[in-house]
Amino acid sequence: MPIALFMPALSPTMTEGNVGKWLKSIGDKIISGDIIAEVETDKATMEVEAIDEGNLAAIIYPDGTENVAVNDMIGVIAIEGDTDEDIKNFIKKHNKNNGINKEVDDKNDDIEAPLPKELERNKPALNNEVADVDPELNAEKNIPVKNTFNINNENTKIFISPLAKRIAKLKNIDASKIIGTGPKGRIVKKDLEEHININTVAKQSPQIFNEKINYKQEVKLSSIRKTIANRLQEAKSTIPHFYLRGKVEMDKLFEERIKINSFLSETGNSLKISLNDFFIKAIALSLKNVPEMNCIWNNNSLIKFNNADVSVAVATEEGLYTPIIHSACIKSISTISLEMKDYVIRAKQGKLLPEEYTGGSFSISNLGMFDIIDFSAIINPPQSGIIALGGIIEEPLVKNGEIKIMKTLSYTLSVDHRIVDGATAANLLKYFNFYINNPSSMVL
Amino acid sequence: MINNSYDIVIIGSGPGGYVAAIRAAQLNKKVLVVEKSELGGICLNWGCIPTKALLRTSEIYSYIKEAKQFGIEVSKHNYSLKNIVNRSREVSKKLSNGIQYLFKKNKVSLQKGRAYVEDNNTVIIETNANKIKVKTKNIIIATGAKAKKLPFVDKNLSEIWSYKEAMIPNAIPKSLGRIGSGAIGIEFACFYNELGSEVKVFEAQECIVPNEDKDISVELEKILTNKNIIFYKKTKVVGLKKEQSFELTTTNTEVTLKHKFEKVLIAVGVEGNIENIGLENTNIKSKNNQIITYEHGMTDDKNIFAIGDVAGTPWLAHKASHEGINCVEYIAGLHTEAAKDVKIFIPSCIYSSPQVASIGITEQEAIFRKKNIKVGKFPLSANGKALALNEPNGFVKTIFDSKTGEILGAHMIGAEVTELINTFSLAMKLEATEEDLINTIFPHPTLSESIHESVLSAFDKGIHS
Repeated sequence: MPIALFMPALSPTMTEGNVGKWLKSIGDKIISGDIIAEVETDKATMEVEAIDEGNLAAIIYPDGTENVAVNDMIGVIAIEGDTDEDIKNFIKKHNKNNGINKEVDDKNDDIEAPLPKELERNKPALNNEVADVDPELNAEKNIPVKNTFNINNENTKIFISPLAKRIAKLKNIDASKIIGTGPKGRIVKKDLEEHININTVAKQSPQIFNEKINYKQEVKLSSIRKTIANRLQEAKSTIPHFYLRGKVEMDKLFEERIKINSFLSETGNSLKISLNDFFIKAIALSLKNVPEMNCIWNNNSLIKFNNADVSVAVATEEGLYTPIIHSACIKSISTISLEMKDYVIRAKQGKLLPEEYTGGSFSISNLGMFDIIDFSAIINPPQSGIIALGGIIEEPLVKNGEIKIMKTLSYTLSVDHRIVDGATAANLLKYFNFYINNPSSMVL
Repeated sequence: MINNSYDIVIIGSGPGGYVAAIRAAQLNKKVLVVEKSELGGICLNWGCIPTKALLRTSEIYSYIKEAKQFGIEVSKHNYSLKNIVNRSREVSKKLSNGIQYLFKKNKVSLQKGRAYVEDNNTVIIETNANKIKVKTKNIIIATGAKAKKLPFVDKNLSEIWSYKEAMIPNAIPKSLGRIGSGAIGIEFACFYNELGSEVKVFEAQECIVPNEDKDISVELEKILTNKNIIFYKKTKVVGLKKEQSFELTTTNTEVTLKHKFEKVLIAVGVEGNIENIGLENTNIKSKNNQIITYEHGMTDDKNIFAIGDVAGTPWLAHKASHEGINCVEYIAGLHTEAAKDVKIFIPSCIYSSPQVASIGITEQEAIFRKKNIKVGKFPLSANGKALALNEPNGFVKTIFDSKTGEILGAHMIGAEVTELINTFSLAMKLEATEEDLINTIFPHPTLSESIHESVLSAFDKGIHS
């Protein structure tokens, strides 16, 4: 009985993925542990590892096929005793179960010929039909995924004319960065000429630059940019946000941080705790105290968590990642600090694992380092809220009838009004202010 | 019957107008076509189609005359000019009726009459009986072109032929003077020469078929001269009189000559039909009797478009049809490639004997543009099928960018080459390089193999040359 290879779900939110590259060809022997193919998610490239033994009998979606639904069959492994006929029937059965009208020619004995390859690109996503897949085909023996990463996949298939391909090669242009304007998005000569033009104009000296002509260029969206766009579009337009703005004095936390870091350095520890590490801990503890906020929206219900998993926004050149400090409320600040440092490095390399940035009940976004006074953030669905931290400034405050110069931090809390009301959210901020004003309480 | 409000009113039913109308109807637009004479315009009635019917006759006649070479004895042969012309007219009529059928099938409304634009939403149609006012969201001007007149020709000399008269002769003239050696001129020269006229062709430029590659021009002149057509190049016609016969005065740098002819045919290009269509009521700009158009046939007036000959060169039916479809799809909101982008992909054909077909730029233009090129040439005398057909004259010439392998131009002369050029239309449209053509399998034995060999020879890989 042949074994199906499915498009794996690499994260709970993933509905479709791209076939990056097949590392095995039809007919290749496969042993357990072999890397068969690379699959691209919205954020990374994964390798599909074999756990069965046999021969790769069919490739349903060739290199570079985009938007393949999760759990759609991408290839077939033949085990000992499987005939070509078995494979064909197997694919047919699968297609039938999925309502795919792929032409499989009975008369043709050549197993490669009837397989849908190029022609099936861009077929409608089968999300709605996934549930109808024959359970036999959906056996858990598949979906073997090993999370090794290869962000720079250079083998994605590009739809390009022979001439454009030649020009790209001669001019050393990466064709994958070019948007095709030919039929069905094919990259044609004109696209390369425009690309070359724009780049030459950009390099020209200002004297030659003609201010009346503003050259424009269309830029392809990266996977992560697409994901960010879709998620935030949905969040901002469907979640009823409300915003609470506040301010907290920072002088005590500053003092404590200096003390702690001097201690660390004196004891030969290279670790330096950042203000952000304290904020993560403070918000995690606040969430623990206000469990109504430590939950996510589940359409007709709420899901509450015991511990606070806090997503922390990390900006990279590619886009925004939100790695999660799991159970931050019970972790020490130094553990949080170490985890964050590791996340930041790997986020910039595009090497975060899906489980490291999927989940969480609440987010922190900090633009303090950019001298922002305050800002409002969009909720990262399905979380309950996000706190946007501005920069720390010194300002005169009136304290007991006296003017004092204090360090302050302004913040805005965005909250999903479906989950909680204003008073509950205000309660969260009350705790947050308390922890920042009383740093020693965070070690409790 | 005609309504008074439409999505698109198209003035003219030639290969631009009628094709645009059908496409518009497919896109669920309410379309009205206004035609003042025959459906199908010049192309179907007085151009492409009837001339091809005439040329088929002269071609068959030449085979009969050469029958001996094929081992056939034909002791007596003759022709009936009346039947030749009738056949040509029948073919046109059949196609014109075909358009009527297509209009019905696609629910395109048709109104006979003379249309003019009143404003950019109103067209007035004058029929024999009355005046009809029609409201429309868009107007497409597809009025075509008419033969250009020479300034020194007396307007009262009604016996001078244009292409129209040359298509329906009462008799084959003993001698025929042809002014102009473009496609139309050469085709008629071949027809009348084959049927027995003494033909002289006067061309002001330094070579015949001046738009073609120089090699093509030289080869065609050589072959046609062998068939007794006489060419006068770099020769201007400066005078034309009619007494008993026509007297043409010509001049070149050295001498002024006088030639006597029974008939004179003038084909020195065409000019757009821009008069009496109400352009003065619009913001449309024109130049040299052509409406100035922009992408998708847009003019300087909102909602008014122009396609085909009236919108400028090349004056070719297939260019008009392409522009028509592009224009209508644009009106319907489909994103289509701008028609201007495709100009270099327009092939051109001359149905002389032998035929000429070309696409892209000539070798001379490539050199002028300082391109690094590779040129391939393959003679049909080395092609098996051509020899079997007894058509060894001609060649296929291909021009490539030496670095990128881009096909810059293809130029062919020989039997049936008008049916071969589309290989290059397709290859250029798909941006094939020499590599793709080299790796393409051409069937044997066919004339098309000479395409393959020409490409191979451009890259020094020729097998049969």
